[in-house]
Amino acid sequence: MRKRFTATILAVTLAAAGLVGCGTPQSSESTTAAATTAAAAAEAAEGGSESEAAAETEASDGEITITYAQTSDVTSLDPRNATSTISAAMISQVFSTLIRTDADYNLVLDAAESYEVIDDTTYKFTLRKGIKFHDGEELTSEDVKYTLDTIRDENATYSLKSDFSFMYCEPIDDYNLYIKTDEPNSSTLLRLNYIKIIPKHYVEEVGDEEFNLHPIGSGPYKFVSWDTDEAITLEAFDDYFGGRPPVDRLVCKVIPEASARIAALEAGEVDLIGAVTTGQMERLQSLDNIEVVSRPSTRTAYFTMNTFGDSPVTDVRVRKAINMAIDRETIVQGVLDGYAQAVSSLALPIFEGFDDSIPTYEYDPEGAKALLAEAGYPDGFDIEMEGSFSGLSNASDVAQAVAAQLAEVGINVTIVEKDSDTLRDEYQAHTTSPLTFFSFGGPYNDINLITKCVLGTGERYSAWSDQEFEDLLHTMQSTVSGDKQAGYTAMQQYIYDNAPVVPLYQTYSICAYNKDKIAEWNVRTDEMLMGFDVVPVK
Amino acid sequence: MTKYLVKRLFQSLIAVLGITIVVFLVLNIAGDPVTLMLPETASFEEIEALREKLGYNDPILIQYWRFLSNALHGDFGMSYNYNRPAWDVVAERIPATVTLALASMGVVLAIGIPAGIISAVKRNSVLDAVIRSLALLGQCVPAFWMGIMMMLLFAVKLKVLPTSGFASWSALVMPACTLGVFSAATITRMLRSSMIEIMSKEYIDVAKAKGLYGYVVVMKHAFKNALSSVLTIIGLQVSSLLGGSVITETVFAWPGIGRLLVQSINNSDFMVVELIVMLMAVVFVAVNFIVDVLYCVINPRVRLQ
Amino acid sequence: MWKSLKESKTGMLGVLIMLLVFLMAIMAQWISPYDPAKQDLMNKLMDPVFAGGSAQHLLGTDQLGRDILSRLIYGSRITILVAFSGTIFAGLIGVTLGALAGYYGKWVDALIMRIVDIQLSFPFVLLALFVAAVLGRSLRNIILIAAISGWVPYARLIRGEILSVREMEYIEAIRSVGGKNGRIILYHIIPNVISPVIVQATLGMARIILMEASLSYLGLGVPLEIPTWGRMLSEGRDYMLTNPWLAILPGVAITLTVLGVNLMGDWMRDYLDPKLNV
Repeated sequence: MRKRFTATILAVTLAAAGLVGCGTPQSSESTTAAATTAAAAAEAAEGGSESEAAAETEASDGEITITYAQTSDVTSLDPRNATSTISAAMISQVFSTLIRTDADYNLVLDAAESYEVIDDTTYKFTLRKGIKFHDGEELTSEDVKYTLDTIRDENATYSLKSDFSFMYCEPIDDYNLYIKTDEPNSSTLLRLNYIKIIPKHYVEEVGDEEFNLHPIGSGPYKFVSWDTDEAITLEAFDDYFGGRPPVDRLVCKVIPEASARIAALEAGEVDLIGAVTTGQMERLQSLDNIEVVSRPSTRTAYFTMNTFGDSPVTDVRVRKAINMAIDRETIVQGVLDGYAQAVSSLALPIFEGFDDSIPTYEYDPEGAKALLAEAGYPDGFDIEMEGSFSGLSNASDVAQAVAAQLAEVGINVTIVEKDSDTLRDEYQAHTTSPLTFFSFGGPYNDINLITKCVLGTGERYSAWSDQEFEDLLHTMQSTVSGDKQAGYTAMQQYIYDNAPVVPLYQTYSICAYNKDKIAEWNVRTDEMLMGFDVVPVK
Repeated sequence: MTKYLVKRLFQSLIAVLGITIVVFLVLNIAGDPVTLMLPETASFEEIEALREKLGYNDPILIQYWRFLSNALHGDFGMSYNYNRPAWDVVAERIPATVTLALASMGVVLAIGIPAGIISAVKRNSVLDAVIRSLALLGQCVPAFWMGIMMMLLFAVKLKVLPTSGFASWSALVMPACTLGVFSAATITRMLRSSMIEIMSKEYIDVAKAKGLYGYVVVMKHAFKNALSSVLTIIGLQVSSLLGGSVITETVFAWPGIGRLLVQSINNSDFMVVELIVMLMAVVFVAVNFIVDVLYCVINPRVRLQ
Repeated sequence: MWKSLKESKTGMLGVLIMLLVFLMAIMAQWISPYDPAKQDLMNKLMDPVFAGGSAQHLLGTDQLGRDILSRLIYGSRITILVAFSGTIFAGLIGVTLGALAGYYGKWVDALIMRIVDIQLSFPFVLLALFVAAVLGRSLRNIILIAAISGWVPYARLIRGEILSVREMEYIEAIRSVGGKNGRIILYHIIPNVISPVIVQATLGMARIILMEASLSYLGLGVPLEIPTWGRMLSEGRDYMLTNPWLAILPGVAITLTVLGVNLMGDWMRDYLDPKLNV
């Protein structure tokens, strides 16, 4: 399992990843985009009651439409502002990148045809020739440079700035370029997966605001329309360099309520849904035409412990005791119905550098009690727990179940629900509760990122500060070649020894689709829900 | 009358100004949107730098003045969540909310007025009892719960209506009913009592004595007189519809400003919140102003104090 | 009063419902079959006994295996607490401001009436979201929201009544013999308007119960470990398709209680304020 993800960069040809060349090449009805969109959206919505009607439409013009449902709307279609996973997933279908992650979180080549590592801060990339943007212009090194330059621009405030401005691009010619970093950074390639290449000529011509509303990329799908809070429509791009995708039209609807998403799937209003809650699984699995699919994601749910105050958790023995008092397996089985992986480390097995030889905290209530007594709390203590429970499914149930388990060893927990902005302010002011429930994940999560953000001094979700940890973090981040594993292992051991955090479980992404419409589709590890790799039923 | 209206208009403007102050102050106490503008992984230094740059460290009076003068010029700032002008973000959701509000007002009037009249005219009949019970129940059921139950029944079990969204007329049925049920119940009850009260007055007896047919009496005299009280209630219901739209739109994923408001508050997208609150307040104040004017027209003897 | 109640079937029903809810709230720890916080993950999501569940849990269990009947019984405490304290505070604020406005008139009146305008133009959900964001989520803040969003009717009522009795002869008489303003309001005007205030309070209570439920639905309610009907309902939402009773039962509890309050209010209006009776 170890190093599963490592630098095994497969020089995969693009035809592979999802876009299997079986696409039934239909001559796409030359539909004038804007005009048909409203009609299509109306059809799609009405289709709730008459899904046959939708099927008829399909049969008549032979167009395959796949409709899928997200929990909320995208916030931006400009890749440079796409921090939410939902926005990033939408954008990934419209734009291409030098290198991207496949459904299994392996890095695969995308717009680049090959790359080599020149030194710790320099990568040389060669672009495929003849990649077209949706307006027919060719994608060149200049576009890559423009993308990274604007993100790095000191006067600009693109959301990607802080995580990505350590990189810049030096074109060699139209198809060859260097990606350089200010300092050695072992996450560079993974981060590049998030840099969607934007068309310089178009953005400069129409400006950022217009680009955000009518984006043009070089990905498998062309943008058609965006009805805010309601639906986004995409259309297959005939000249996509990876081959025209088999689905002609993708409609992404916004349905925030979990039950409403299920109902919409059952009624045939949508063909594919994400964020299925575990409570719904039984019902969905009992339905003949519905396939439920799940897999572990890059997200970890955990508690941070505020070590700045004067609460009992400033004592490392108490922190260890809390780690030992929680029966993660029972929570996973009992509350989450098995749809999660119990973990006691921030480093997930899918991450590069995960070391399974590091010990973990096993469930040991007696040991926990002994440690508490040793720390001077033989009768336990009262403690506050807080969290924002809206973002993660079953989160409030998990918090309540953990509270019940902690009560068993004498730690009486009061749970306070806060909104996530309040929590962020509290992290900044070091005033979070002794226990704070949080989760961290996303499309470019790795050991570097999660340990930095959750435990680094002054970081946004951190309630801990430790110089030795900072040194380890720096070593780990800046080792690009050579013995990378030593740094990763040292970090994992250090976190185990000091127990500044209570990891609980790795979440699962649970999705469901309509087998009458979709023949094959895989859940992605990085939490992104996309329809571009759907294999439709013919 | 003109003098009264001018005075009333002046009061309305003060109310709107007061609202902007309250909203601005409260949002400022709540925090600032800077954390939202940066990615999840930005450090505290970066946040502080941006805060300074955007003027969130200025004295609050300066910030308020800047906000107000920009607003008067039609500039409501940027939505941080969408990276677009707040006005654009809000404006494109207004049609959905207006559609829903009109539809539910239609439900309210189409159910409330006939039910109220019938109930009053057929006082103490079985029909009256049924209407009264339903109206009472309508005031007791949590609207969002009814919405969920309707969704369960009509969309999931019977599959006759779409679960959510805003693209067809059938999608409008459940949200409009959910939003309108409380107001419809209220209007039915109010109309019934005011009509009964008026019908017991002497001039109705006089009219009856003159030989007019019963229904005409009811319609012409009683209803006209009861109308002024109904008007006042409708004015007040606008507030309940606007407030209720927040919950209804959330339940039914209706892409209107109510749902945007909840999202924006959760995201600290302050410019959008400010704009929506002001917009709702202005609509409410305007509707009540119009109601007052109509009130004067219908019933010139009763000038409001 | 008893005679009037005996004559009004609906009033009697309302009073009975309220008595039942009260008893539930007061005797929760004796009558509830289980500890409402006790989790039993092995027996979660059981159906109520009338829907094929076991008699062990009459109304079934929730997603953490907690007994729903016990949670409903304990939940009545919050409902009663929020409804009563919210009403009392709203009434105190409203009566005070209304009395000031009506009695002193002029700029005091103008100022208070503008505050009323502003208050009325503010959807309560918004107010609630504000308070929750600024002050955090707690029982105290829910009560605060109830009070702030509910005082206006009292203020209007009192102001109107005072305007009409202010000039009455006996008030003038008291004033002429040197009665202080505060005393006049407290001893001579308030008693005159107490009946409509009580009627308003009953109706306002219904509003507060519904408000608490919607706030919990939006995730702004009281802390997690305290069972409330609104929260039970909103948690049940996710299980609507598989275990609809989780959402149905608390909804029924809320509806019945509000019905009880309203029926009682109607009867009290008839009894206390016959001139409003039609």
